[in-house]
Amino acid sequence: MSAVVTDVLTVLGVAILTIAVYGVVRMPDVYTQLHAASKAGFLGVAALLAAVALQGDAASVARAVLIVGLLAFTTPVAAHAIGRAASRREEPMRTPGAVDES
Amino acid sequence: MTRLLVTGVGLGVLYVLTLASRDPLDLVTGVLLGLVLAALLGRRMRPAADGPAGSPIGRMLWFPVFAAAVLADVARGTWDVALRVMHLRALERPGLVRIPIGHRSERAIAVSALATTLSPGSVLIEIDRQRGDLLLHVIDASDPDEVRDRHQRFYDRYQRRVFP
Repeated sequence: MSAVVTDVLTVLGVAILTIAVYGVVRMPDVYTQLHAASKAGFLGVAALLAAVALQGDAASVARAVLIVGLLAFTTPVAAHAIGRAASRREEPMRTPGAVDES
Repeated sequence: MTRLLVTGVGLGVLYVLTLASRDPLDLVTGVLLGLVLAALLGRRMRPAADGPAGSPIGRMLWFPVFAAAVLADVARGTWDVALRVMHLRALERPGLVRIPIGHRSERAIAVSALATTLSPGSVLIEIDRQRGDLLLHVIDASDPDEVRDRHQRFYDRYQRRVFP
């Protein structure tokens, strides 16, 4: 049973990461690319690590929990740093009709 | 001094967990490295001021609810962004929206920013203290007032009891 759950989590993680990579190509500007690249990736990596934790020993579980915990803090900070840098460099939003309350 | 020690020991424990080691020498090395880092970066790691919180037990009891709400928001945001990336939902009007900070404490602002940015579909761009709001980029900003209402509802329902 746990092997099936591991396979499902692995496929889910790879699928999410693939969509995240495609999102970088598909999205029109740096702000929208951030949504796909940095943060959809968090759930993808979390799913892969959950799969590792299900099959691994106690040390693997501890590392997986630690990595997910650290990613939960570092991913938003990295996304914010890139977004703020883009904003300060006055990177334009390229979607037609984009809302701008800045 | 107490904060330096707590930070140093915390970083030491993190070091041991990262190595997945039970060797006491690794713990000592980690704590020493942690203390050096805490001493070097101490001024830059100033803790954010907390708000007028309720009882610590109440906050601890509500924390799992808040964490579950954030995780649900991450799953919902990932689904929404995935649909837009795969051309199954239109990328109509993304954009920059201002969210009022209101009476949130420094720590609550940091937590709001972290929780909002963790969820795909919204990224914190800037904190504007003069105007008292957060500038977010949201993937669907077609109705900015609805975005503001959604964030305020999330804060009122889940975050206020833990990080006011």
